[in-house]
Amino acid sequence: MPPSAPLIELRGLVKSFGKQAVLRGVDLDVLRGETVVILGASGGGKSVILKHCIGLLQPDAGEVRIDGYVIASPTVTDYAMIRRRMGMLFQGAALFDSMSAGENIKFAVREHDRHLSEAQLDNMMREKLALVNLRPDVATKMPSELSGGMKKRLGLARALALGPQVLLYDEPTTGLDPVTASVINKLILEMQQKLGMTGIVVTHDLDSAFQIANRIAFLYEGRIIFFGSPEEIRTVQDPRVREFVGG
Amino acid sequence: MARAAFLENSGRAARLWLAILRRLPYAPRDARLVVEQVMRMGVTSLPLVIVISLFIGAVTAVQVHYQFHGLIPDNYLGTAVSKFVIIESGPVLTALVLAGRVGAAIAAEIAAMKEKEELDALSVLDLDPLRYLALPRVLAGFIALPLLVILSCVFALVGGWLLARSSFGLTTETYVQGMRFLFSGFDVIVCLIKSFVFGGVVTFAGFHAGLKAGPGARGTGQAAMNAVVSASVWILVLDFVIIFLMY
Ligand SMILES: Nc1ncnc2c1ncn2[C@@H]1O[C@H](COP(=O)(O)OP(=O)(O)OP(=O)(O)O)[C@@H](O)[C@H]1O
Ligand SMILES: [Mg+2]
Repeated sequence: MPPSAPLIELRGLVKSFGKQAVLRGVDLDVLRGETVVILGASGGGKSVILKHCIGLLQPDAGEVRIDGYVIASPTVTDYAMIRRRMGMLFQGAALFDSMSAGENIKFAVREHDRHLSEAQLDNMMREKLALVNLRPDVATKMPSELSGGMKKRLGLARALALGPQVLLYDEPTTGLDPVTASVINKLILEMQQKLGMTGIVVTHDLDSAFQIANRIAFLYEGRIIFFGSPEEIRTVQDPRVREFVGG
Repeated sequence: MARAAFLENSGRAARLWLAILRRLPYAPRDARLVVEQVMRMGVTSLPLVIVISLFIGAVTAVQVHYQFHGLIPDNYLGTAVSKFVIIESGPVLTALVLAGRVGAAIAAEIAAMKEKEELDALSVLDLDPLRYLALPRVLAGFIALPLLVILSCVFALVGGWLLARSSFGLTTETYVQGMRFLFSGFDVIVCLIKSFVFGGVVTFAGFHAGLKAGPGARGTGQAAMNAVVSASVWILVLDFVIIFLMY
């Protein structure tokens, strides 16, 4: 497969909950190694798009392809092969409240490979903590003892534990102060540059989008109405986009 | 309408039961999780079960004395108390208490995990929520309730004895003789079968209610209530069925 072929393809994705149509035909291509940001209003279905990419939701119509392989369509749910290649940082971090921070990172790895020793698991855990700039002594804390920014970083460390090639970020900077938000933005850039990670980031934080995006998609009433570079979105004339991007 | 909803709900519950039971082969490997849940449910319920059982025994003794005094010799007080406690009140009342305590707690816990996307986080790490959350809880119910019921029966008999001695002037010997008279191993087996079944019912009802909880604090409260209601109804229905089949 040529390097320019998209790693992730969404084709005509349609999804309704009851009578509420959320996605009305979403098309999106994400190239290997790039970071795509999906912008859009709150409640517009951004989280729903991410959940389709990782097999938490099944579309009513359309399909999701990873590496050309259909992983989600109204008739197919073949997530097992892709789950470990993808990690997700949830909107609220979704840490396992009953486990320590360290255990949050180790749990899935231990369950998937029972031959690893605790020492190996501890090493892996410290390495992931270092990747997200968390000190090793955080490992013994419970999630409820961590600040919002630390929770997001721990959520990211946990997502990295299984060694994914793709990371999905759901509102990584929402609810954080500007300083912490910029720390998270730097981390997302590092994931891309150091680990060669492909990323989809969902946000309504414009600053963040312009800092981290290679390309920006704009979701409006269930469709992607703009998809282009950060420079292009600043100059686009479409009033629906202008209203959101401002200026 | 109500009937259609009831049938649909029962269908879903049956499918969930099957899905959980299909994961039984994992039980030996996940024994640690099961033991943890048995401790959580069993040990924390001990004080409540003991206090309640003492009173059940005492109340039963009072009623037997009041209803049959003069009709049958007081020698048979122990007989009546032990029959009633072992066959009926021990398993049923302990199960109902556990429905309120453990069933509701499981429902609230799972509902909160769903709300905070912890269930999705498990799936994304390729960890099966039914295996890691449902199976240990339901199995723990099957194990913990019979143990609690045995304890409950013992304390109910003690409660009856304390009251018979202090209020009706029965000697310990008369009470124990009465208890032994007509005592049958078959009753104990029925008691254990009931407890086993109720243990599964209580924990399953909790998990099922938590899984289909609506959003927010309201959804969590509703889930806890649903768990208690459906567990209670099923306990009484199955109590009847088992008695009907066994005697
Ligand atoms: N599992 C679900 N069941 C029913 N409705 C849902 C479900 N998931 C999402 N929705 C609905 O779909 C719509 C889009 O939700 P989504 O969470 O994707 O929005 P969003 O763009 O991520 O918003 P936000 O920026 O607030 O996170 C909402 O109206 C939501 O109520
Ligand atoms: Mg969202």
